[in-house]
Amino acid sequence: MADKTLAVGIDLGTTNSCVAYLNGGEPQVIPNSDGYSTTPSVVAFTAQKNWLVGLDAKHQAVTNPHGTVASIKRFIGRKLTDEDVQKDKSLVPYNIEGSENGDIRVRLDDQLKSPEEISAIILQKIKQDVETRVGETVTNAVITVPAYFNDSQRQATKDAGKIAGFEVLRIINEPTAAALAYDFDTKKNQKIAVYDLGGGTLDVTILELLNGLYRVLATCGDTHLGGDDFDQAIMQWVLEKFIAEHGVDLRQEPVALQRLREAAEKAKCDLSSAAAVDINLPFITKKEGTPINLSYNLTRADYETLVGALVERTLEPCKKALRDANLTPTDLNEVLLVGGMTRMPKVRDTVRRFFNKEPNTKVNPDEAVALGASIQAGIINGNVRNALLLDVTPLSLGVETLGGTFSVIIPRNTTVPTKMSKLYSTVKDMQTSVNVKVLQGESKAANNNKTLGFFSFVGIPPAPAGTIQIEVTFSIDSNGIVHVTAKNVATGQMQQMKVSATSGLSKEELEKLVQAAKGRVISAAPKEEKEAKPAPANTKKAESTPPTQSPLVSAPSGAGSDKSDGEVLTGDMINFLLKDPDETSHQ
Amino acid sequence: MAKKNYYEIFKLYPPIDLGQLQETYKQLIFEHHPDRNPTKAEWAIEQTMEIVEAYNVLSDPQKRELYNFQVKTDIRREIGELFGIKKGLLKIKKSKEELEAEEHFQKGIAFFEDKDSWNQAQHEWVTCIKLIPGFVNAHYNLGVLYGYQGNFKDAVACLERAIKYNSGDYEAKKTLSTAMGFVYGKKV
Ligand SMILES: Nc1ncnc2c1ncn2[C@@H]1O[C@H](COP(=O)(O)OP(=O)(O)OP(=O)(O)O)[C@@H](O)[C@H]1O
Ligand SMILES: [Mg+2]
Repeated sequence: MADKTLAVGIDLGTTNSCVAYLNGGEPQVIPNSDGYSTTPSVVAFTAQKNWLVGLDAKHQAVTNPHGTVASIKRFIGRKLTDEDVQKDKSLVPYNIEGSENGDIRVRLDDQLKSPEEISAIILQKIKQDVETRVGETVTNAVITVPAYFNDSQRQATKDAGKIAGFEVLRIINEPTAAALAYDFDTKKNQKIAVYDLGGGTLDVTILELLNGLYRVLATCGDTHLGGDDFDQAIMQWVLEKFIAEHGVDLRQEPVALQRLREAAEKAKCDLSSAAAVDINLPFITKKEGTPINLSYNLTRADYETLVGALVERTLEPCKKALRDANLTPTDLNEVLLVGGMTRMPKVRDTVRRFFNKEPNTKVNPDEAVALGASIQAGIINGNVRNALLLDVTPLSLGVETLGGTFSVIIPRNTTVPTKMSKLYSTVKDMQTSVNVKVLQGESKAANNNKTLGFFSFVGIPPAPAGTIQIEVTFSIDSNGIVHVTAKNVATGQMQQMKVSATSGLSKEELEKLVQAAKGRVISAAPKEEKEAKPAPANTKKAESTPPTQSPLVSAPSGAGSDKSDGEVLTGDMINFLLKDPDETSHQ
Repeated sequence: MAKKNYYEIFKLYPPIDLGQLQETYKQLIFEHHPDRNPTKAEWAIEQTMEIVEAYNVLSDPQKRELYNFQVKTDIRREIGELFGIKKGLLKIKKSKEELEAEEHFQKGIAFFEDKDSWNQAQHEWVTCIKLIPGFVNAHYNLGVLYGYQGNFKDAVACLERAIKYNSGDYEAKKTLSTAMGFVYGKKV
């Protein structure tokens, strides 16, 4: 059925992405080509120069560590010099470099790819899968971002959508989307908190629900706190133990590190239900020609100690959001849990303790965000008439003033869209330009905030100091994206301006990438690999994350050990094993 | 440029019932939100911003108190600058009630001198009107007094009555217009 208002909602997650649409008014997840409701946010560029996305990419990660990009969302819209980037850089297997303006580029073979492009490849795969399912082209999309994403991160995500060939109707916040998806008793006015701990980010959003109007009161978060950090904590623990035991630092070995990364995540997930897990990685490395196995037992208690500080850190944004909303936990009717990490019992306990109420786990933490995004798409194209969203800007927007201080123009938690004007005047005789440095953040010192750009209002007619007034208007649109315009008060004319030192892709670059992406083919993995997968859950949406497929990564059984007689596994061998476990002898 | 009165945006006046305010807020947002008005986004954004700002203030007892104080200060200043109370007595021959009414009227004026005794002034003028319902200047003074106190709804009612009894009362009309400007967001 050709429906020109068909629009999808996409949760572009750090770990998993999910897409939904309104099917006869009901939000519904669209399964990917493998039949799963979520697609791993993993992109790979293979030795054969093919692009793989999702499970196909994830499955070959161990054999292609430098060419497999996971968690790209941790880098999007950031600068290479970011502290968080510097830290993550050493922990991801792919190579990160800087672009001319200090933005991030991923080296894949002989190419340098921006995080926008990598994200676009994920989105392209999603688009492809959706179009196959619904049998028509889909261009309109609402894409979600962590509520605490800043302007650059939002803009970059929007650009990613564009590169993928989408018309991005709106960028909306993940926790708000999750709230939209939750079937509240709409008759009742209530206040709720959404606690969203995903693979890479934490968001805490407080909303007031007024009979179909979803009004965000405050939001706070940490765009660098999520499941990846928990995985890393386990990895660190293992790495140190391994050094102590064998004197070998596995950080130098990409394949080993990638296997460990997968094992760590699996151990983490298993510890949500098990009291202890074995982390077994046979033949992880070689020492003086002898293969070494990695084998440790991690109890839930030890794990909880290991990540205690991380869990505790999630409460800081909860406190801030409540404070900004001028509420106490008792004012809240519900606390909604979203994000895969909220399956961890310790996280639930901590949330329960803090908010002093049983958290609501009724929404599907993997799907709620995409479902909500599809509802927002419906609101925008007019198909949904009984709901509306009023979101806020998570960060204060302002300018640098004398002495390097940050002067706030639009405070955080202001409802968007919004705008505010400020008058600037020339300070010198015959001055023909006025410079304004626009920043986002909460620090009094301008330097500690994120610079969005330097705006130079140029071509001002020469006149005595103070006689020319420029009215600069700062606006934040419904996407949470910042716009700056200026006009000459006396003439009413829009003032020309030059924007410099901003991050992100230029208009020209973006256009080039949009064109380039049109020709990109996202391959399916070679056939034999495909067949190694379980039957796709076509009829029923997969409830949880699909099981990890590689026999070498399923830690406890040590399935790989009998496949190889004392040899240390090299990348090629693992690849071989993955393809056909029964034909090792052919090697 | 004067901002639109928050109460006027909601067409709700003190005392504010939170439930009613929320319901009206919801309706106004549904009517004005840019997502509902894609063809006139600029207008919708401005309207929505105004509604949100008004709601943020009126729904929060502390902010509302502060806002009321501010509005009151504004109107007090404006009324105070432009108008005083009236001291004129009845011109016609005087009956016993009329003399008594004038006495209360004068007492009211005396009480009005001191802010602390405004309640008594109010009481005197009300008594005065009870005796002589057509005592124009008592209506007028009450209007001004309520205006000073920021009780614009009653101020408007009193001034309207003053005009009813003396359709040529130019000052009453002007004061009324000022008070209306704050209560209803428009000058009449
Ligand atoms: N049972 C489980 N126990 C603990 N952690 C889990 C479990 N299942 C999934 N996770 C973790 O949840 C994270 C993924 O959650 P989710 O899919 O919500 O993140 P995302 O949406 O991709 O990320 P983000 O929202 O931060 O961009 C991963 O770190 C994953 O390991
Ligand atoms: Mg998420």
